Amino acid sequence: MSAKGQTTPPTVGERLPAMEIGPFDAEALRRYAEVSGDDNPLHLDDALAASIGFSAPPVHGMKLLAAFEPMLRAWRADLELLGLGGTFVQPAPRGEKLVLTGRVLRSTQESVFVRLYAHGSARAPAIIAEATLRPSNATFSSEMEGGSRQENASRPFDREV
Amino acid sequence: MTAEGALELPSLRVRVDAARAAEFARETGFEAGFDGAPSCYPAVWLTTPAIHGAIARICAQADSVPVHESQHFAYETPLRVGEDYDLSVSMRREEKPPRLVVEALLATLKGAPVGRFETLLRLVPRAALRRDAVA
Repeated sequence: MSAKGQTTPPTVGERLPAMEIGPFDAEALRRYAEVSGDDNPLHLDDALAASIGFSAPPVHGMKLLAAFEPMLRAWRADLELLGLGGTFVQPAPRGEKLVLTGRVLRSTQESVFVRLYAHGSARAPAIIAEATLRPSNATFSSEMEGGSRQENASRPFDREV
Repeated sequence: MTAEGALELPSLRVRVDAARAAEFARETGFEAGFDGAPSCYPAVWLTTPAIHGAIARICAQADSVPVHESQHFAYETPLRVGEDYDLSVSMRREEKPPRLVVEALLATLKGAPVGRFETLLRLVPRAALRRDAVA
């Protein structure tokens, strides 16, 4: 699917193309710590991470949550992000690849609600997230596909699973 | 701040710095040449001394360490690179389970709402961390 020139809302149930990110090394975490200001030593200090039971320092959760936005842009450049949020379910150790996936849960002419996951090697996801988007310039054409659902833009912190 | 009370910080003047936004975008996987403001960029403001210091004091009072449990960003209008904004931050404790909720409202300098952010920090007692480390 081309990311450009879309004129219809996504279909409910549509799966976003998966995106692989990482593995992130110590230098990548140091750079993120520097730009974000999140210099929590847990992410940077191997000995500290080991002392509380981590196999390696965990990647900053915010670095991973933020990575959903480029994934969403690559999927549908005609949509702009209204809201992005997520729960950090479990740490993603440094050095692991992660796979970002997503599925459209609601889609109307005005807004689109997407459930997102970041999975590492563990069974449980590292992050369960959600995004609310809307057409960036004009409304979609009237060719609605699939299950149009309720408006979501007024509920930016929606926690529906 | 009492356990059930809330703390409001003085409003902060913040800016979407172009160079920092570009670097943040690069470190979070945006395509080369992206010149906008990532939606998660306001995370950098949460680490400013005024906010981070307040969080650290609350954690110290609770003899706990903060664990980032969830984060949400919601926008009414997009962030603009180079723009100055006013950021109003409030914090409140929740007891069961122990959490610190940090809420921030972003507005233009004329007061128009731009965005709302929520940071949920689980407060883990240091004693529990020490027990886990020994176990």
